[in-house]
Amino acid sequence: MPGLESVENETRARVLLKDIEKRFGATRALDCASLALFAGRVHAIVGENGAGKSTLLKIAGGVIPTDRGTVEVLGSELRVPRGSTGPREAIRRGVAMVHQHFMLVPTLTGLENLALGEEPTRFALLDLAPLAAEIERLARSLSLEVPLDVPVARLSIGERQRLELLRALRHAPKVLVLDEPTAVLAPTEARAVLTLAKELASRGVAVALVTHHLDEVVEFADEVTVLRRGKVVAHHPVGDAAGRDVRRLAREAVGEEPESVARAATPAGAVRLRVKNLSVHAGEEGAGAPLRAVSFDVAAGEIVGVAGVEGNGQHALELVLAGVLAPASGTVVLDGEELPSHDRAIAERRRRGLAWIPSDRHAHGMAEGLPARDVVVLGALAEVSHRGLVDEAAIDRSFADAVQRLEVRPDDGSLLAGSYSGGNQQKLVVARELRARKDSPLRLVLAAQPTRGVDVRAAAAIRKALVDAAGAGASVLLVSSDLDELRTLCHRILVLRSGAVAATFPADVSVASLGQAMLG
Amino acid sequence: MNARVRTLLLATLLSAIAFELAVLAWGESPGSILAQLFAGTWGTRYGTGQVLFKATSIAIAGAAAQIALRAGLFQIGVDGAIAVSALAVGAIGATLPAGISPFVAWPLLAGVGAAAGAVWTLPIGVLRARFSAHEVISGIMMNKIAAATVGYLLSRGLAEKASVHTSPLPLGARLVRLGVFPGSAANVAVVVAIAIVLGWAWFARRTVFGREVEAIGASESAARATGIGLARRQMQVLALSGAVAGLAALNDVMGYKGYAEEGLSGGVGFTGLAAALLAGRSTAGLLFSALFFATLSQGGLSINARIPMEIVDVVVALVILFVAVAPELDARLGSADERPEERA
Amino acid sequence: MSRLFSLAFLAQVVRIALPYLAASMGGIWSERAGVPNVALEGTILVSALGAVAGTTLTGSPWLGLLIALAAGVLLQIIHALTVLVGRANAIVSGLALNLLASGGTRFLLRALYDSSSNSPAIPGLTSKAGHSLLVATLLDPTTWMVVLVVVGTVVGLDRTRLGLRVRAVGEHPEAAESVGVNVLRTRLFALALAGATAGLAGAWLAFDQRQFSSGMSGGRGFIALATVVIAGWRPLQAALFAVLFGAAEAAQIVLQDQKLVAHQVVQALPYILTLLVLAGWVRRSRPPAALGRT
Repeated sequence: MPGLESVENETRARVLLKDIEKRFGATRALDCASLALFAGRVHAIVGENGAGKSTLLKIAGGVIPTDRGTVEVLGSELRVPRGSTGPREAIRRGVAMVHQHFMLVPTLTGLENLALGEEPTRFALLDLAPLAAEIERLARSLSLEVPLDVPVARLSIGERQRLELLRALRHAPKVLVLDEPTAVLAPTEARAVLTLAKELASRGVAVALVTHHLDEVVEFADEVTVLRRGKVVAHHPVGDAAGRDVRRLAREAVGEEPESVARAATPAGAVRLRVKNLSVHAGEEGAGAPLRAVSFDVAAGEIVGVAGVEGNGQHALELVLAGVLAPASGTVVLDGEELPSHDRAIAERRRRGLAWIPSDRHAHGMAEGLPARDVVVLGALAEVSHRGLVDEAAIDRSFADAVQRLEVRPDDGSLLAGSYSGGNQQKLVVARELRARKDSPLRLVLAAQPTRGVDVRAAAAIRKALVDAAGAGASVLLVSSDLDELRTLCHRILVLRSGAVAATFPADVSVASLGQAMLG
Repeated sequence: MNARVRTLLLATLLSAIAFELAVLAWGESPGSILAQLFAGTWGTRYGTGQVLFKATSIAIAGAAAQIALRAGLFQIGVDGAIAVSALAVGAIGATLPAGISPFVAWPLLAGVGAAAGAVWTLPIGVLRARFSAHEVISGIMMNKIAAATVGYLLSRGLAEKASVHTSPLPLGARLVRLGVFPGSAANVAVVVAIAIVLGWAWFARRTVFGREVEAIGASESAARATGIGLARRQMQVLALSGAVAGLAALNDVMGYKGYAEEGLSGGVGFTGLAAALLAGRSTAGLLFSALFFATLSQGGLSINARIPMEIVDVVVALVILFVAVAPELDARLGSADERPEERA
Repeated sequence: MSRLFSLAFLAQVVRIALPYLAASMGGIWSERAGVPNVALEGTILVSALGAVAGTTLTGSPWLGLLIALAAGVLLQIIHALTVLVGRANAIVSGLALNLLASGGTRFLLRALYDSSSNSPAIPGLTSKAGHSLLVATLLDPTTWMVVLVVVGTVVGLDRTRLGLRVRAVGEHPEAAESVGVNVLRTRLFALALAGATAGLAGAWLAFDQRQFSSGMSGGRGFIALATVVIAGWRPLQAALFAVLFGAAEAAQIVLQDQKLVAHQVVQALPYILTLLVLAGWVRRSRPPAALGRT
């Protein structure tokens, strides 16, 4: 590789992570993970959602401290004190990181954002012209031109990333850490960034990058580390055959074929849900990545899965189907009637038989300040009341039902929901949404990450509840990052990538095929 | 509830200490000041009556604030609602026939007062529900407009000739004074206040309306996402709050003065809000806070010759501040080592 | 009516708008940094008393002015600490501090001057004798201080280091944090500025009326906050609205004696206008994204 000869002498790693262990509350994000970044090499890190990639990168970038293990930067240990503001020490030593979620203030211009923190002044007023000139020179030399006097909110994602790159590269870092730089970029933009990464490596920078696109790994990286559930399961130099075997990498990231699983019976019902040309613009409030003209059908009694790496449009799809977000274009038709998207849309959809298990239960599913028994009837008080008066006994019954069906612990409904563990909070929400309703049957169940953070027994109970709902005739749309779950429960699986349906598979699809469709 | 009660007690203790220190600094003896304060309030029947009279207005205003707080809204507009309601009750009451029976006059004027208060609070509700405009600003504006409106209407004919207040109410429209507290302004409105506070407590717990409002106060986004009509409930809550605020005017107009004039409420709306903030969700807390503030207010009058009664306001303000930072103090002192990890 | 179109009226407008302008700019600094500020009212009160007490105690109006500013800063720092460190609700803290200010100033009024309504008279910063209102206003140093504050805010928010950091911290504190900006310190500074500028408003009131009287802030702090909100948190527009309120108040005074329009109508006009603007215009301009989120 060009340029490597000059750094061949540097056999010491620029960044060395050894036996890293990191917990967030009860979850173990990283378990005995190790990583070494060398000068002049592009090191790719791949894995599914929740595998720990971002966490590992943030530790390497000096942003968060590790619980156990050693972090060495340029030969000496790096300690990140608790509650430190920003990775100052790491930056000082020449480690620059570009985050997945940009650290740019939307109302300030690109130039102002880059000036923030070390603002140059003349006679007490900001003097940004020299900075602008410097940045423009740097941008030209790296082909990263971007308008600097436009508020960041008006820049495209690709342009914003250029700003982040310019900020990172301004002080000629020795280590550059990129967290999912290409996740939300169009193909040409992605290639440009990766080419830049390779170019920087050839100039001696140690580059680490997290990506979901395995073809990128093969083309641009020098070595690849595969993470799964917090552990390093594989590490290959890309020069090797193993490093270039995309299917093998996908399987390593996503897991081996599990034992045979029970399948739900094939449905014979008519089409219930018809989604046509649904589009959502990028940057829509809270929705994240856009949707591009998505169309699909779900029949009565059918469970359709939506697979995909987070950030490819699933959240927008969820919000539109739930009625929280109005689409830019397209229609959603349930049982022949188009679903409304006006002010009272959500209540109207529920009246028509929609149940929603939200992916963000804190924003959309429950309130921590309410007692658990109230969460079980949130929004459904009409069913547990007579003429405006609440029927406490009915609420107690609903709560008891939830406790029994999904084993909610603790079983004291007067305790605040916020005191319950995450998994039990989820059970409360699921119990509410999938309850037996008098008079109005469930027609559409929208389940987004329903078993995330839930223990095995409860997950099984939730899945059974979903299967039962389908059995009673409802259409079920299951968005999940658990491929085993999708393959067990669904009759069909759609794969979302870059906001569009990249592939549709039957239930007996292999994990490797799924992984490849998801990861590209 | 436990934490809240603990905080309130601690706050009362601290306020007592602050009060002592201020008295000492002033050069008076804390013991005798407190004794005089007690003598001027709970020590005599007249004093007790005055405390109850003041507590009545504060409690009703506090209930109005508590209603809105349940939905997470700060009802500063109570003062304006009271002012407008007082004028309406005074003006319409003055037109009632002289021999009218209380059984007709009281419900009628209560209805007038509640309606006036609700109507006056409507703009705040619309601005919040429809336009997401913060209710603090619109509440302050409505208060100012109310003061101007009341002054204008009084000067333009609603007032009695050669006076600045409305004509007196007929006897039947006046609330009966409580004879057990001779000379004081305490009247049957006390019963109304208790009924309202307890009534709201019941209503908030037992009705779908109250529970949905509670959900909104707990999480607006989750309430909306589960189908609760956010805008509709916010408007209803503010209308109800305004109606209750309007009832607070009855105490002064029908129970004390017998007419309406400018500045009648004297800022009781804000005191009520302060009481509601101290009380949190607690019904007993609201009644206690109302009595507490009324005692301080009346007691302040009796010690005013020796130490400025405004010391009371200072103490109350410190109590509110303390209660406001108490949860954080609790968190820091309670778990000094555990710090929630940031989610990556 | 002809009295409305005279130089004297213009002078009145400028005069009366000054405290609104000063307090409004204070509100801008605070809210743009992400801290809601209902305590402007109380700040004006304590600084007004500070001006009077400072002048009577030191014998120098200029020292009195300094003490006024210090008093304002002190109150706002308490607000900052309560909200930013104590994590109290900003509205609650603001309201409590207003109560503290109103009670505290009346208490001190009694303590210092043994009166429950007014302090004794103090000399102003300049003498008004013999000049027309317009000239007197132009000669008054506080007039120019307020002008400086307005210009300083409009320019400073946009073009100084502090202004940039304030804007960043009020919109996206995490991003600011990630580049090494101390969010807490920036907000403290912004609130101190708010204290000084609102303090200037209080000082102006005290020197204009040559005394302190109970409750003399008269709701100006709330109006100042309203100007910030209806201006969409933009300093120049907030200043314009402040002048508008000043004009309305001046008109009310002038029209008080004549029979054509009741003075209460004129009095209420600015508040009605604020409500209409809240309904129509605030929709389109969002508050700083991190406002109220500490």
